[in-house]
Amino acid sequence: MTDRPHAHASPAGVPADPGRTRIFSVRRRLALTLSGFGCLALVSLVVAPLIGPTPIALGRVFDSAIPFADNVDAQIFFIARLPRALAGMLVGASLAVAGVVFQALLRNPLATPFTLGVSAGASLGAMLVITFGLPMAVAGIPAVPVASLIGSLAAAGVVYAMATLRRHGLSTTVLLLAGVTLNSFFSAIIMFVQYSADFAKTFQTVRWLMGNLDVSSFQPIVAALPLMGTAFVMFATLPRALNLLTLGSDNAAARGVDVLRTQRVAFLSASLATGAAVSLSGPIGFIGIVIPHLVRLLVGADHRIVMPASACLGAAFLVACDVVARTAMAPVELPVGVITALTGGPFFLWLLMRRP
Amino acid sequence: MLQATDVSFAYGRQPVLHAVSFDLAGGGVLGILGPNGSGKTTLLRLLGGLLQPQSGRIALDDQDLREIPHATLAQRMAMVPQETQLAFDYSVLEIALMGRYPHLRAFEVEGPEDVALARAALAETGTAELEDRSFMTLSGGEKQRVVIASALSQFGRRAVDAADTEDGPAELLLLDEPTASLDLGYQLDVTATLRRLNTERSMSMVISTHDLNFAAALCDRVVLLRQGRVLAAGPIGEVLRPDTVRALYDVDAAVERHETAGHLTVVPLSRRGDAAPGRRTGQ
Repeated sequence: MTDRPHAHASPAGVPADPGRTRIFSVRRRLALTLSGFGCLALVSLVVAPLIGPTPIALGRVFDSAIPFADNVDAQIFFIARLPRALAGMLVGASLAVAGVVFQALLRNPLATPFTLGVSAGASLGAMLVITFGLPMAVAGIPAVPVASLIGSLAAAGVVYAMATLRRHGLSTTVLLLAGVTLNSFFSAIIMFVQYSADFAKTFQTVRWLMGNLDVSSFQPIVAALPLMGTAFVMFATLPRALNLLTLGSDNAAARGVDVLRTQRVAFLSASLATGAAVSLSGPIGFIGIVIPHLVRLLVGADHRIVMPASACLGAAFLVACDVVARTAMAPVELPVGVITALTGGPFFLWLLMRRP
Repeated sequence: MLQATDVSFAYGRQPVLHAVSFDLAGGGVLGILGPNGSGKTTLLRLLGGLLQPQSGRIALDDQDLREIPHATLAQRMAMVPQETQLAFDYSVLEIALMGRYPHLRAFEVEGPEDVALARAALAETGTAELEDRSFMTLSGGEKQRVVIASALSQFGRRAVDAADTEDGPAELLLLDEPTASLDLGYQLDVTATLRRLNTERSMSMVISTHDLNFAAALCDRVVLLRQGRVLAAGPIGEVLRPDTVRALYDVDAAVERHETAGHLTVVPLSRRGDAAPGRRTGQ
């Protein structure tokens, strides 16, 4: 065998040659997308509280000449309506990014935050509290959100344990199948208990399962914030590794990605975000699947851009849908989950069809 | 440069490789040949550090693979799996840039230099003009070359990093059946690309394949693998003979040097013995 000299033809230190081709800069794309989608989210947060049965004026809300105690517009804005918009924002952002992460983790475009049983676990927890008349609040902490959070984390724990039990690493196939099975299993328990429960409680459960953003104070938001915050800090470490995982775990590992650690962090953070979101608003469907795909159609598949853009768009979309839910048939309030699917579905199909 | 010593591996209780040993010198191209199911892919994943051998040792430049951190290993050794299926679509340039992963710190974004290195890697595989295309719309041969480019950009060193080491780190490319699903034209494209990388950059390669002619065109040494055991190993001119082909595939073949091609060629003549029809229907 010939032992050739180790000639380095590799272009170490090739100067950038922007004249030859267009400049490829992730940072620039990120700045552009974020300013766009971020503005959308901010606008929705400010505009949504202005809309409602009592008309208020933005000028009066932020009029510093009027003391807050006398400023009815500001009181309606900040106390009655802002918490709801804020909750919509957090839930929308959490579900959208969790959807992105689950889709990348499972390498499956059909995955949603609810695919792996997290929402079924949450629903089971909430339903048990509602049906068996457990105290609706323990030491000032409302029991339904807590029960749903416990249910979602328990479901995530079971699915994760099953996916790691029989193999050295983490089997995404087992993760997917165990999650789907657990979903059906929990749904069956929910139906069984509902079948035997009385009508009023069943109705209450069904309303919870439809999801709504009926948040009238900052307290539940403050309670959910640490969980969502933790999830988002974990999300921030993921984008580049998730890009590589899209190429398959062998390709990712061969390029230096710690695949198992990435999968763990992805599963844990997305489950946490989903659990926190569902405990705040109930399971609101469709955001976790439509927003990630919408964003990918608009900005490509790079997770460094897709994840923050999905957070902003998910937030703006849910807040907007909630405005529709509140006002479309006022004074009757529609479940916001109905609006997300009714408005988002056709729009997404249209977008899908007009692509070449 | 790469050394496997008595490497054994089993998936659960199913043994796949038994005491496989071989040696790859720097700048060499080693072919791992064998029928389907002989353990080629498993061996390649072991060499790439994606699996750990149950016994035996794999060393890169005398250093045990297990002791080399993920990112360091990925700067010296790159791997091209048999097939790359994307869950979501990326542009060709984005795929090439993913090879820069082991060179970037946490939260670091590829700079102009990384982009230039990725573009250089695309140029080396003849895919530079495809950089804006979406990966999913490429043909099989184009995809394979883009994935090779992505692997190559793992080796590219930025000026800052290049200053650290006088001589570049070892460059080792592992390829799993790189031509298995390609038509003749694309097979030649990939072969030419790999040969050029070997001669011009003296890049070392380990290539698993069941295509003896492809191996003959590219490899200087081969390891014949059958049911997880090394049947024969050595320079291709010595190892590739009618009797070894028969032992490997149960096929009678003519092995001759082709004057125009300039390397050995294998022409399969007939399935051997009574086992042949039974083996076929038994599959």
